[in-house]
Amino acid sequence: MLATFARVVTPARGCSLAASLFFGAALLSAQVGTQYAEAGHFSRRLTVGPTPALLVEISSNGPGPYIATQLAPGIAATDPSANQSNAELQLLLTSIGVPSTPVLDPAVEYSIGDLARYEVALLLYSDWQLLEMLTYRWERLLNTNYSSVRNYFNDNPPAGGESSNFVATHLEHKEHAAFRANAFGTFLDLLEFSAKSPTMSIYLDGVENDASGGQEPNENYARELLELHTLGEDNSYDQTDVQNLAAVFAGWNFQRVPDAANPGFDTYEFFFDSAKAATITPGMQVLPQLRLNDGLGTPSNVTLTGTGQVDGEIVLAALANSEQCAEYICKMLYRFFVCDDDGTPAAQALIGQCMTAWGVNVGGDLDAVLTLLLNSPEMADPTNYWCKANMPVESILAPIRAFGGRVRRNSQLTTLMNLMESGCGQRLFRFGPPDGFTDVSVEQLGTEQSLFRVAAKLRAFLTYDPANLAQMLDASDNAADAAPEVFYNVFDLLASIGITVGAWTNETAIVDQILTVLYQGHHTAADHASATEFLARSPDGLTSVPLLTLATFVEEDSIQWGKQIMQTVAYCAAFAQGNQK
Amino acid sequence: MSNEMSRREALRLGLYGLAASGMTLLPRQARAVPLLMGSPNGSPVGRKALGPRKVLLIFLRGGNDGINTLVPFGDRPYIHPLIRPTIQITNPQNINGFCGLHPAMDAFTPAGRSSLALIHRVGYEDSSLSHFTGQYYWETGQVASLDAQDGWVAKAAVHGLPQPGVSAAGCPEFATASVATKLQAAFGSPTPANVQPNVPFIGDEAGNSPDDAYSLDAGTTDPELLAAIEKFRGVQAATGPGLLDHYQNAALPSQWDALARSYGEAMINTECEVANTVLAPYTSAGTQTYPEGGVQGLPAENWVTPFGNAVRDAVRLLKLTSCVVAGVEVGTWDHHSDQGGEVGRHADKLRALSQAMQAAFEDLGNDVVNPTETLIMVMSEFGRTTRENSSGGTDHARASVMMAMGPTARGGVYNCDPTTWFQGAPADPVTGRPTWFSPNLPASDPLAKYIFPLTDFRIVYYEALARHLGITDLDVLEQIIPGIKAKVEEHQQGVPTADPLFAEIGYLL
Repeated sequence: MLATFARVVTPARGCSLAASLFFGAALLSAQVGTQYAEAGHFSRRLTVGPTPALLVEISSNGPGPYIATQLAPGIAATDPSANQSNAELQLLLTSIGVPSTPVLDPAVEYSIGDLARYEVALLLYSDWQLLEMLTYRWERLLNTNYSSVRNYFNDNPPAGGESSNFVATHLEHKEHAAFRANAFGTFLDLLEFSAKSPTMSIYLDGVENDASGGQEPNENYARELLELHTLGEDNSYDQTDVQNLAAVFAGWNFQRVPDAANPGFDTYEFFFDSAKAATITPGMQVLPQLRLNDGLGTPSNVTLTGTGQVDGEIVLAALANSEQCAEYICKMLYRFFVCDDDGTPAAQALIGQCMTAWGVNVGGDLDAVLTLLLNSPEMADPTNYWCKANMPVESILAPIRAFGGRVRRNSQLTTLMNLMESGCGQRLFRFGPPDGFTDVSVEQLGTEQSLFRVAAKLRAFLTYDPANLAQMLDASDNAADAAPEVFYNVFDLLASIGITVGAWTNETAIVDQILTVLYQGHHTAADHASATEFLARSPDGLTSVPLLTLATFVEEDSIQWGKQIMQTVAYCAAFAQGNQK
Repeated sequence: MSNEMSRREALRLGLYGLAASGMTLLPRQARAVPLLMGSPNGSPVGRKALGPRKVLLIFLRGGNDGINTLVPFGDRPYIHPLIRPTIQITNPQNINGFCGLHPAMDAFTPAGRSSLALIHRVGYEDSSLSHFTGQYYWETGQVASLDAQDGWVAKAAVHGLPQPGVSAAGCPEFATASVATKLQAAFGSPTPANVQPNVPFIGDEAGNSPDDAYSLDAGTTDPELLAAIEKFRGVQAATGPGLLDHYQNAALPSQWDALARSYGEAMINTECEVANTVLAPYTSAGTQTYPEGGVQGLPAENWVTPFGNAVRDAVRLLKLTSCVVAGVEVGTWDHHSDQGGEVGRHADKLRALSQAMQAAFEDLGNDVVNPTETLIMVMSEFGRTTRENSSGGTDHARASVMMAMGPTARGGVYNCDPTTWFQGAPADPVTGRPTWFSPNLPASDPLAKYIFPLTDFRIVYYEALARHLGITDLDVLEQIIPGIKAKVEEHQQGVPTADPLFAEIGYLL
């Protein structure tokens, strides 16, 4: 233990010059961290949460360069492990074992839990945060449920003898990869991939939809395509449209085929089953209320050919090119990135501009829309700071990002994800209702949301095992590796926020730094006082032990300091602000 | 909250902190004093109430097929092979010679059946075919507005139910509880002063607080860590300021801070009540067991909260705390395909539902130590199409079935007899007879697909609030169900044009 303590006085590792300068300045600030309010806002909107380095970067350069960089992820869009600077991510991805390219290879079988951990790892550590945030947004818009897919393959065993679990995971992974690859592409690409995805076909009953012989088509996909994916409820369609589209999409099915991208392996892909198709009269018009997104209100005149698969593709293209869809998705993106209230005059004006950027007959230019939206004055408007409640995944992962937590193993992710998924209900790839896990602010709040979000922070910062505290105080990687549930090395954590050993005895300075990196000054004086008093109490709270009294470095003191500081980090992360962004 | 000071004073007296350590679990007898509830007109009811009047809500999410739940076999074309060729029910449990329960709902005992009111054709005019809009209307008690607003249960807690106090264990009480992972909209509120708790995981029947229980302890037994968590809670003066203080501090001016702090405070308070008043070894007072795992026939992993456990935990809250309304939810009633008929997916869920209802009925009704008079209410956002689709399923439709079970329910069938069932039904183009199951109407005709409501769900709510819970002031009820006052007054005054959908059913004693 003495050896452990000896490391205390060694120069802090991992403390970047930028972070030191940044937080050195913060210490002199009367208003804790408020100079990073703008950087914090853009960090919360474009990423899962700020890091000290990101706050420095955006604060120094303005948000524009960061936005531009994030909109061009390059190879990371197709190979998420490539072009990543964070060594923790590489370790974690290796530990999880999900390949960058989905292949139905039983030799590298992985589970849906692995895929979920893979997504969380990328959300946590990827340099391409906007890409990951959007990928997950498209996942939620075009939601499918792994369990439905798995159950289907339980009933219809894969011809290659693979497990139903693996086939379902493989297909969810293919969909996930496509959403990432097209995150900044066209909306039509996303929509068409979803419509032709075996997972969607199973989830919303396309595989069951048989209109042959005058049978009643299954309305499930048609209704959600209009209500959830493209237009919004009752927006320019009625029950007749639902029934017509149910007929159009009858026969949209999938089959097992050789995987062209991975020779030697099979996969499942879309095919049109004409035996189940409805009889469509050539020249039949559907969706009569649809208008082209040309600013002129030109009717879309969606005219079917009666020749099978192409009619569904005509419908998808007409929807993606419609004014109504452009408005629906632009509003969705506005609510996701800016604020929930999309009805203000400023919001309406911006959404109108985004609809223009959507383009005419190009399928919805997402890159143009996002470039406009993210660089807009509304996006930067300080009245929109902190105007959203965040999702569990953001609330739980943001503090880990903020303090450089080391999540290196499946087991650590599992701990967090159990609290996120079982506790808070945000289940990745296994969310049942077709509207996906909502990001509407008012629906993020509740007593159970509060409890399990706080519990996740206690887990991350206290590790729920006091035996790990020694490892938490040991600066060596070997010691941390020996305690796989340890998320933090206290000294690394303090170094990452610019606290040097000499500043340890200054409770105010420590609380300043913690609150700055978490909330960039968005706290009350009472919050600050509360945190300061919390820090100055013994780990069980029963004794007041100001750090100032611990003037000499002895082993017991260092352990106690470590506990008190880590508790205080968790305490501040558990503030109500931790449920907002 | 209106009684915040009394709560804080109680907490500062240290009662909570002592109790939170698990040392001061009180005997059940010390709680739940039976009340004599008022009748709708304010006079005592005709018999002495056995215990406090309470409500257990069960929301079937996805749109339950009311036609196969309460089978109107007296409408003969129901069995026409073009209507429901693979999912028709040929052997319902006959109730009144016209309607019968699905055969899988076989858990009801004679006593249960006599206390089971089955109300067919419940919905609302121009009902939405969207799950999400429909559920929101049902849960807010207000049709045609999707603005963020209080749920109808949250409004009842604020306007009609007794204000919660402090329990004998020193914990702030609560009037309602959503027993579900995600706060159900019926219990939700965008108003900080109106927040109601949601308690998805109480802890197991042995009184343990496992990893997923509603507790910051998260299953740990380490004394040092338990002490640290007590410091986090900050409810004891001795441990200094903690989260309770933070949540009670003045909010930041940003949009959600006050609400987030209110839910945080309610989280700490609810944890106290759950830990000290509820989390103890538990044995049902009934013989019918709660269905285990998920709904039978489906893997448990489909359920964040296993349905049977959720119903049992709601009953625990109702029996052991002053909570008046508890609500659970169960999903995947959206059977667009492979619905099944007498057996299959729908049948499995209906069986589990009947088991859960019967188990709760017995558990609540047989408990002489913690007696309550609890009404179990079951609802769903819409029914399903009269005609089966090509996938062996049914699509979104309009009216469905509500159920009410309990000592104050008048057992029997409503809106499903030769007189009421055919009201509004189309005439079959061939036979000329009224039916909701005409095989001869074109599929494009809404009357060929949907059964339209005869009763608005809000009048069913009204009766539960007024007749069962004794909230009879129409001005108060208007705050809970906007528009209800005029609708009820029209009927009370015999106005000829009174909205027939708002005629009282009379399903309560």
